[in-house]
Amino acid sequence: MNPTTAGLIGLGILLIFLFSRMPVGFVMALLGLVGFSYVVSWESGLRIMAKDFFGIFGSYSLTVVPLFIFMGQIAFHAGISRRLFDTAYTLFGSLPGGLGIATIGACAGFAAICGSTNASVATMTTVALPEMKRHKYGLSLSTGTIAAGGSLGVLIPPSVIFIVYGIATGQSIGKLFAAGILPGLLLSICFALTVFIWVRLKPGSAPAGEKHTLKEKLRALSGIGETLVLFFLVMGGLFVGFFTPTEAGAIGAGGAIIIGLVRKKLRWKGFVQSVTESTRISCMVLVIVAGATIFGHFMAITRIPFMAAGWVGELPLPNTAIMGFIVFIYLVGGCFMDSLAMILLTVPILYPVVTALGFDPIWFGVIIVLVTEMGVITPPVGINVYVVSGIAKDIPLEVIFKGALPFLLAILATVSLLMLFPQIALFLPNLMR
Amino acid sequence: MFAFEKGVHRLTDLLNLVAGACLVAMTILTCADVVLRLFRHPILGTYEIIGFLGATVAGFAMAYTTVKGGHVAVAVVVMRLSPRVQKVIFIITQLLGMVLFALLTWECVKYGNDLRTSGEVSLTLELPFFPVLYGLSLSAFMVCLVLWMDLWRVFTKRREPWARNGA
Repeated sequence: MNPTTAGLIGLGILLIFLFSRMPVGFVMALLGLVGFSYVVSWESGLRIMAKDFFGIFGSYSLTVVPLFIFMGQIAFHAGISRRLFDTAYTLFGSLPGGLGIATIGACAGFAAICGSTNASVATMTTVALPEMKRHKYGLSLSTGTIAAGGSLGVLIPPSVIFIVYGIATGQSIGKLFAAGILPGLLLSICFALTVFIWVRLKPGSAPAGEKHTLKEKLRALSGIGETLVLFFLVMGGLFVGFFTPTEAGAIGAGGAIIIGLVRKKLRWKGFVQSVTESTRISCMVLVIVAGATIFGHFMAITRIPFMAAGWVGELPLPNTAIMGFIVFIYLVGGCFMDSLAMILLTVPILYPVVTALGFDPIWFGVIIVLVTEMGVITPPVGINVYVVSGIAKDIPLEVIFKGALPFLLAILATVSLLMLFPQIALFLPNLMR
Repeated sequence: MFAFEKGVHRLTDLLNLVAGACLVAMTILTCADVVLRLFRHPILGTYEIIGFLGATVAGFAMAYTTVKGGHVAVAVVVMRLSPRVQKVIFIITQLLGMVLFALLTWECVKYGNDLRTSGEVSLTLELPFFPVLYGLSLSAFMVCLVLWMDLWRVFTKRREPWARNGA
């Protein structure tokens, strides 16, 4: 059997095993090991596996993952998310659907100091859902808003997915972070508009909130001061080239700890929980990265990625149509798989295709993050919906899925705008050195 | 058997504690290096130490993450199958996972031995790499034990397949 046939069979078996409920990282590592060993030798396959686990876990560039996750966890336990929500409520509470808009605002703010979708959703479900229930908001609107708002976590920097995409493709993490800012703000506005229109169409779903005076609003702004300081310190240092991404993550985590201690909100128990959760989430991410790296080595020796790039490049179709098809693959795949696993699995094959077609790799990173994020609120896998339902156990899954549906239109609108105007993503990274 | 299970859980918790301590150490060391750099006194070899600590964070948290059911898996198809078929798939995938981590345990020791024999060390601080490989091997072995324990519990009907939180 020639390597290409072995590679195609390997891909087929991978697809079957991915749905066997075996951890995605284990499946990719195992099939990568078996495939590589079959084509080369068992001795080389085993050594590649050990080297990849060692190389990925001990990679300086990837130590940014646990550090940014740690920063987000500390921010939650230090009460930063609660203060963000209170500020957003004071500012937007009197608008139709004000609490929903405040939730989106708080999600965007929290996304600026937290790099993970799941963490953002879990945080906001704990903080915002009781408030929306208290103000008699419809369950679909409130849970849908939180599930969708949480997806901002991976678009607005820092973002674990951008880090991993950057390392997998050799792109600058700083530039990817910069590229996520404007689309993230645009998506936040589209989400807020979705809430606004929803409430205009169905006024009963969100009773009007309290009005606040200008003085109260100005005073409330102090609640976002610490987030702004932390964001500008971390991202500013990264953008001007003073920090490496790892240093930015450590400074962010250290800054969040100092804020928590100064405000006397971070207790020992919260600190220990932050550390334990961070090691668990980081390990989950890095095992997938290690598995995908081993599988990527197998794919590389089969030459399938290069052949796919050549084959697609010769198709008699306009580049935009091919890109549309690639986006469609991510859209469907994202409905069934975790975004990170989906991106890591497909990038070795699709990245050469995209660059051969002349698309900007930074822009492509933003597009696939956005598209796979649609999967986090759509059935059957919609992880954000499961996270909300896991915390708010009295709310049926279908109510949350129904509530998240209108927000898909907002993501689609943002994707379309980015396709038409790539500068939305590329303007800030192009300003960097 | 219960004492053995308790022992495995204690060891996974202990390994995760070490991973957590390394994460905190990474944060402190990097912050200190950035601050001292402002005064033109960066800490020598930070880059290398962070790599070693990072390997310990992810490596030593592997067994704990497995115990907590923290690895990403696609459940959407299997959860629609009959309990009997689910059990068969669980047994097969657990066994495959055990084979993978048994091989990783073995190969990390071999790789570590090779690095020790060749005397390979980091560039600046000349720290040897092999202890990290031995640590990784221990973590992979613990994952093997956790997977086997879960399998055993399903066999002895003390647990449903894929039940979260190993305790």
